[in-house]
Amino acid sequence: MAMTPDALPPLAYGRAITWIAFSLTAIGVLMIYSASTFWGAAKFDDPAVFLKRQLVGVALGFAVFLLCARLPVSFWSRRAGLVLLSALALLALVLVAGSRFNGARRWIRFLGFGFQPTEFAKLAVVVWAAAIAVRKGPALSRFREGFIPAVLPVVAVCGLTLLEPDFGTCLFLGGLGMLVLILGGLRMSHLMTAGVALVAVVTVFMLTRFEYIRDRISFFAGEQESYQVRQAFIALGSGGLAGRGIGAGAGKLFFLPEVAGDFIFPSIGEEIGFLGVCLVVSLFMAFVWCGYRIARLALPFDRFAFLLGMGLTAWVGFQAVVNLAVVSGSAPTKGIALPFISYGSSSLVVCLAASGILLSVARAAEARRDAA
Amino acid sequence: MSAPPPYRGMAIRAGGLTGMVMVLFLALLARFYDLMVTRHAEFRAAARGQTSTSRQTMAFRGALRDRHGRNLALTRAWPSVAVDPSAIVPEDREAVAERLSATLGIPRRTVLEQLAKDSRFRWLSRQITDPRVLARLPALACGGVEVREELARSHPAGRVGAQLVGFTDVDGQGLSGLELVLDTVLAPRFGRQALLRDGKAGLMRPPVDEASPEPGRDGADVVLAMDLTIQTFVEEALDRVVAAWRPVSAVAVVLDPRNGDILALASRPTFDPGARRNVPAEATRIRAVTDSFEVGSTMKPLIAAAALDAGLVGVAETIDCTEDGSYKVGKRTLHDHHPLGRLSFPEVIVKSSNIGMAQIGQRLGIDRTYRLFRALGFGRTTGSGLPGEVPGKVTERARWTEAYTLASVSMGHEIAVTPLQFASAFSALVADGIIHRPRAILRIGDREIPPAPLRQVYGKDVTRNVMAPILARVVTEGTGTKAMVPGHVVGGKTGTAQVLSRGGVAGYVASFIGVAPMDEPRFTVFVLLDRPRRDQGTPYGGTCAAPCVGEILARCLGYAEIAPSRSTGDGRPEARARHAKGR
Repeated sequence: MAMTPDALPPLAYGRAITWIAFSLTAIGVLMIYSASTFWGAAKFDDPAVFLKRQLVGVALGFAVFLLCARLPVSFWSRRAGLVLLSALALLALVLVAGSRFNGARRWIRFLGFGFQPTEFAKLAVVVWAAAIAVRKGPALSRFREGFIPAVLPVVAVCGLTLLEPDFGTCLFLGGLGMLVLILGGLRMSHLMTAGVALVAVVTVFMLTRFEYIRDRISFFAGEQESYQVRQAFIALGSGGLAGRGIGAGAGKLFFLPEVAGDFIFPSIGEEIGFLGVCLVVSLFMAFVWCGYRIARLALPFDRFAFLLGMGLTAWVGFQAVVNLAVVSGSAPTKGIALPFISYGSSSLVVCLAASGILLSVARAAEARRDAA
Repeated sequence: MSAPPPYRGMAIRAGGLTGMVMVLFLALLARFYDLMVTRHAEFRAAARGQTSTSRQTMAFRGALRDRHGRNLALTRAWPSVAVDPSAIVPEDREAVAERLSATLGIPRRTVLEQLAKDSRFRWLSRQITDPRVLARLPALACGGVEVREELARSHPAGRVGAQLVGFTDVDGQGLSGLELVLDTVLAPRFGRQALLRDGKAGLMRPPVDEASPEPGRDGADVVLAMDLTIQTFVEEALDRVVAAWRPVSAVAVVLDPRNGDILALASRPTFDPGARRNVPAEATRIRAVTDSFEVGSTMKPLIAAAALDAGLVGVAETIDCTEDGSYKVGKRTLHDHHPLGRLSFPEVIVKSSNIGMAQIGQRLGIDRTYRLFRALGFGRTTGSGLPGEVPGKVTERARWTEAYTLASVSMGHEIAVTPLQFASAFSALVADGIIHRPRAILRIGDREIPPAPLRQVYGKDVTRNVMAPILARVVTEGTGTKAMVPGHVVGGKTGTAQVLSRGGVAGYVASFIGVAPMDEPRFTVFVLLDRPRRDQGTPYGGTCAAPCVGEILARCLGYAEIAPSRSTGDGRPEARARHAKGR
């Protein structure tokens, strides 16, 4: 009767995901401190300033993790609309009241902390897509009743993100939403016709409008190696097999851009080497595997839990893939953080929220399995 | 099939998606392996290239010191003050200018001018040595004002010994004198300190794991044979004689005849080694080695002593210097200043008879005279190591003639010697016949340079018992009376040589060589004036050079605390006689 005989119960994967998430967070805190001391000392006269801020994020993220782990899965399916609306509201707010950085409005300042609505939007898109897919059921495969109402809100989120402007995150959000919808039964043909057209229009628009994106893409397409990628290569390459030792990297001496943020991985590679890189990548792979197993084990009982679990897993997995592809020069520079590890409270909090929800899904699956 | 179709499709899609993510991760790992392991060496080199840099560390040029360790030239780090005008906002300029002007002692307007410049760096005051300003400097630190150390050569003795010491350019490279010839030993080796450069190329810090690979080393200190006190006597005496006689140039040499030490070496024109700019090359020459002269009669004792030493003339012998003051050698007729008649051997020297010397020269002969000159070091550089040294000129052996060369050299003509060569040769005559290589340097770093006795030119008996009293008589009763030093027995010889040009006599080279004390010679002083003024008659060596030598000797004897010797009424040194008896 069972589709796949499974030796491990869902909760085992849930526990594993918890430890993986905490391990990645811990590695992140350590490497942020190592990477940011010179930057912090130069900019804020405090070598530990980024460490301190990230630790606040860790505390907050841990609280959110506990909360999400306790909330029933149904909480999200019932409030999917509200979650999406909140995301849209925050994205709209950032366009009005957001603080500018490098020509883009991406943060909302609140009580001395910066909050990035796009990070929350990732969670919102996954929750919404999973909920709508389940709600529509077989109707999802029809264009008017299924495709349009399911896809439009996702497009709205993407549109607001694009206005910040944040092209990379816009693409990522769109892709994530579509992925969950496809898993939920969206017809590929509809997506092809509408989605591809939309993406093409948007892309052309962006290319003509925003020079920085054009530059990034032309950098990547052309022979010219961008300074950022060159520095990432130098940092990674000088790490070798075992690394130069924690704290001994040179990339953080104002060579690597965003050394604690999007480009923290080269700094990790430089200091703990290819072996360290393998460790971090293995943790992400384990996260994806456990997330997949949790979702798969929930599938027989709860399609929403399955889609939610797969969405969250794919989110973390793809975001890690994209970040690693960027720092290894395999994709154009996007401004996508490395989940759990990159500096930034918003990203860390939503990643821990995702882990908490996955644990909650695992619990639910465990309960239903025990009940069955 | 238990799962309904939609579930099954979802499961497959989820599995496919997961598989895809896994494959992407594995592909990325392969990519990282390539970057981090395969291309490790390439990127490690690139990392090193962009992070490692180095900075020169400070090292000092060696000092030049006199024989008693007194500084003649030394390098120190002096603070210099600069401003970064871009870091001082216009509203603050007045206040900053006020403070800088008060601290540095420079006009407020000058500071304001520099602060108004569109620049990141302007010097305000360089190489500050004023102790009052130095004391105020620590209070100066503020944004936009920088104090940095600069190396500079200073010359505590000023113009004293200027040519010998020489000077350096602003980078500390020797340009003249001993600064030039000893440049390689004086020059410091600057070290390099490895530094880590960051991506802003602004902040630098020593690397954690690397020790400084090249430590710097200061240049070696050099101790000269020169005695600053004696050099000062010489400079002052030269200033006076030059003011009085306005020669084209003037040279003075003081040697220690016992070991050839160059105690003082000076010439005019001179220069200020601290000035650095607008120093005429003329003034930097060490004329005691770069210029050679026909010294004239001053040469006579060197020839006479050789003839005596060879037994070709006796001390008691009388020489016919003719009643009419003229004498034919071959086709050439020689003249004395005035007819002298028959003279004893000592009188020939004391009265400086050309005719007498020509006859003594004839007896010595071409071969011996030529060999004498070689033995005395004429026609070759002395090996003093001083820059620009010339060998002088001795006529080629094959071209010597009895009537011309031999007769001329006996009177100190047709032979050109540098003042140092001559002083060195004459020192042999008073130092038991032993000639030393002139020693300008006593010590380089830890290496001692020993005195270098070269050879025995004259017999000791001749120099001590015969020549010494004769030279003393030159000063007591002959042409050199103006070199007399009361209470001391001084020996010497005058010389006045014509400088001929196409139009006749262009001037004279007036010289005097003096030695004291004659019983145990400590100082050989040679002063030579090239073409002194003639408006008060012929400038004889005895009238212009001798007083200068006398003055230098008097001060040297006092400085060396040499007790006056009682002398007999006729000038014969009783002390010397007693000394000779004792042996």
